[in-house]
Amino acid sequence: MTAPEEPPVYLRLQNISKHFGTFHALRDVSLSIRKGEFVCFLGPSGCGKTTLLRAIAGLDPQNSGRIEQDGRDISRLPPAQRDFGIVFQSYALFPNLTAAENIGYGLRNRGVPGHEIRARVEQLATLVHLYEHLHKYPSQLSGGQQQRVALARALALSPGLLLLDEPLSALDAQVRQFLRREIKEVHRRLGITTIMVTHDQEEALTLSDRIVLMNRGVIEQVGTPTELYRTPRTAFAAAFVGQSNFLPGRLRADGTVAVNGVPLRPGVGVQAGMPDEPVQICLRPEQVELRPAGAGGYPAQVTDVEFCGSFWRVTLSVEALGCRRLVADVPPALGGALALAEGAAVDALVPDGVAQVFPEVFPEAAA
Amino acid sequence: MNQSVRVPSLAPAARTPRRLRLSMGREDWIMAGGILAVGVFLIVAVALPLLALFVKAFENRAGEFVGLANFAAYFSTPSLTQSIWNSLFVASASTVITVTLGFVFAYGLTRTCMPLRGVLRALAVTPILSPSMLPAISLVYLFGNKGFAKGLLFGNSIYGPIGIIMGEVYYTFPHVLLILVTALSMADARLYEAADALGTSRWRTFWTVTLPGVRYGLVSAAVVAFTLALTDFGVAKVVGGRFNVLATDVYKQVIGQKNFPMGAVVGLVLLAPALLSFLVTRHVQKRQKAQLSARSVLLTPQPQKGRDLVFFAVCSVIALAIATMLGTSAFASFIKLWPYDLTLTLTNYDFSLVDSSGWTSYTNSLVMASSVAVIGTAVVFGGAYLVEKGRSLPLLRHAISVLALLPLAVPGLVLGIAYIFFFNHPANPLGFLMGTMAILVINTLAHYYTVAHLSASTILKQVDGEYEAVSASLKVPFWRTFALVTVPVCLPTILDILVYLFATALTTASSLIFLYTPDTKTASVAVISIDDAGNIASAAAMAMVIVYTSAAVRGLDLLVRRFGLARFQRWRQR
Repeated sequence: MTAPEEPPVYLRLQNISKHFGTFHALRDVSLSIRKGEFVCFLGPSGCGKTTLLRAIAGLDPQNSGRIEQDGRDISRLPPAQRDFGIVFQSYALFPNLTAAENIGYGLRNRGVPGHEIRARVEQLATLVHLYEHLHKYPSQLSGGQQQRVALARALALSPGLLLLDEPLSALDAQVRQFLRREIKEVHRRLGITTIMVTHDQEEALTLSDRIVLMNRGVIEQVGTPTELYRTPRTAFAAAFVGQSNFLPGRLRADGTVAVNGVPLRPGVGVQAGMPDEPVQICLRPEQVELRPAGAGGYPAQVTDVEFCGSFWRVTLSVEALGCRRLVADVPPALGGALALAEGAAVDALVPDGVAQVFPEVFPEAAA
Repeated sequence: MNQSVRVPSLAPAARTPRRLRLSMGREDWIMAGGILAVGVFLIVAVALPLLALFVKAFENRAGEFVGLANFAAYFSTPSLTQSIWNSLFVASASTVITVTLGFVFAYGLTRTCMPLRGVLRALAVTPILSPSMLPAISLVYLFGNKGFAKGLLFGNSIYGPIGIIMGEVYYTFPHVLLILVTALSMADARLYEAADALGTSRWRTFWTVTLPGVRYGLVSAAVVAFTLALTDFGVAKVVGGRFNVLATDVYKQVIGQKNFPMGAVVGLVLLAPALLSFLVTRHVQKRQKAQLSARSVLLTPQPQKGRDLVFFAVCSVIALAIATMLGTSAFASFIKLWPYDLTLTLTNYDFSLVDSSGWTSYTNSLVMASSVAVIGTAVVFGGAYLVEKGRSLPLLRHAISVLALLPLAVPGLVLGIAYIFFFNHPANPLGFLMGTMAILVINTLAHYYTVAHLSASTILKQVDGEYEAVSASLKVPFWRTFALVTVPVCLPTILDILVYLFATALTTASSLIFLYTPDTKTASVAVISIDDAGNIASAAAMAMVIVYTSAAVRGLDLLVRRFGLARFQRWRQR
């Protein structure tokens, strides 16, 4: 299976299950992560992503299943005997120790000589741009600075695996953007295998080599950000990653689908099924094309226009498709040309080969 | 069983056990050992003695099982059952009086701008420094046969219900006051603004906003006052006269008549209402959550001349009465012969004249209280840490947290006789502890375990739950993080526990009265025996020695907090 140039598998999870009482937090999860990969566990709250991370760390061990790290079976090892660094959502910084003492905490216990500790702490502080704050206590640092101390502390012992549990969710939007780049930069420079838990799809899309999308204790899909966005394998994936319009339809014998009787030629995702089987059709907002009224397409009425900076988000009512709420993203130039406004008439077009078809289940509650 | 089984997509893994357990490292063994040790301590020091007491109530003097015969004998002896009504009467009466006075005082402190609030408050909590015998001794001086103020009783005797009630009011007042001050200071100013905006009269605002806001505090205060007054031994012992209450009955049955089974029965009768009030308190505390949200605005009282003056007058009278009680014992302890020869003397402090133990009982008290404080703080805080942060032995950890609450419901007297039954049992290998200082330390620690445990686990719950996980990931053993982070972060609370255990160990007498020997007699027990022998001035002096010591410890505590602790708490500043 392994292609010659690909790095070896570093972490292998096999059939991990975990339940709390009657609640199944993880059901038979299997996953392989390569050395040096940046992987995000993405999903809504309660999907099991944090449970899986804590099982890997040995903090809340799985009920069954096997975990292998670097060829070693660690399933039964207590956390202290595993090889990982971890950053929690709360950071869990020691409040009575300075930033430098926090970062050097693990080194000091190992009996590393004082000057070596100092050198290593300074090196790590430089890596996370914290050098001038080393003497401060956590309460004197901003949220973003605290987060970077936690990151440096987790990296101090040069672990083989870095675990990040929603590390950015307690921060405001600007600091978050900045730290996202910083985490990516640290990963690039150290090449450490990293797993980050997040419920923020944007974070997952921008940071990861691969995303593990989870829902209700199972993995929905594993893939690169583009794979997940372009070829979601389930309606849940389509709904959770990026924006989607869902339209009800039926399969037809010729491989097309009918929406309100109108035939559409779908792209990827079409599955063999009985003719007339009910399905749902997923359209990304940018896949809906808008043209001036009468230029060809389904006549549509604009019901709402939102200006989103680099594009316009237009909500349409399209009678031909039986759809009262179709969202389309329109580039600014075209938006101006169409004179978009509430009540305006336009034509909407769905190009062939872009729509995706899923069996008819209601999309899970997506963020 | 009904889980959806999928065919694993990867090569079949080695057979995994149904319930996976982590292998235990050295750290886990040490942690499990600690949990086990604390569990064993609570079982030996709390659970088993109470079990022995329970069993004893169903045995005759020869140790044979006699079913309910002891209870039948108890309930058919009117002189014994009369004590139940006597106890309930004095406890109820003193509860009503204390809670009423305490509420007025707490209201004055928190909701008015009366002058000298700090001084009044300091005076009002002084009873907490003294053993419960002290107010009774003062009452004898004030209202006894040779008392200055005897006339105020209009011919009634202080020996009996009047004396007991007055003594209990003094003894329970600070406990009630502290609860009510806390309840009254948690007021949301927005509710009062709303009432004002709606044109509500002050009287109506009081009934519809103030009282409902503190109703849980009132219930807690009443329960605490009732339990303390019901189970207290010191006041009734000194000033009870022929008026029998349950607490003195236990003493008479066990020490006077050596009737252990009947002592056990009275003990169980005494335990019942205490257990009931314990359950009421638990229930109230569960419902009392989140009175004050983050968005509440704290109420700051505005000056209002008439009201402030009235409260100042009333609170001054209460504070003066409290000061008079303490002052009387203090004064009497330096007087040659009350009320005939008022020359000052130190003779009353020469305890070797009145008690064979002399000053040794005081040094015993210091040794005992320091041991309880130091060992107790380590056991309680370490135990609470292992219960809160431990990972192994979940059942035992749960058992510890339940057992730790039990002592709060057990009166000291009851725990004392329970110790006699358990440790004196010929089959008990721990019997050698009887008669040693160790048994006094164990008993006192067990008696006051709950409050200390609750403050420790409250602060530990506020400490980030991931410290242990972080230190495991950094390969630092948990005890190192405990010493370097958890203890420093919790230092103020640890000091609270230390002072609490020391002060209570110093003033308590109720359970020690059954366990001391001439060699291990403590100062509080000496107060009772010296008073019993008729040397009331020396008893007052011994009680005052306890007061001086607890006052000194509290003073030292304040100094340490202000100057010593600040150095270690620099990280708290922003």
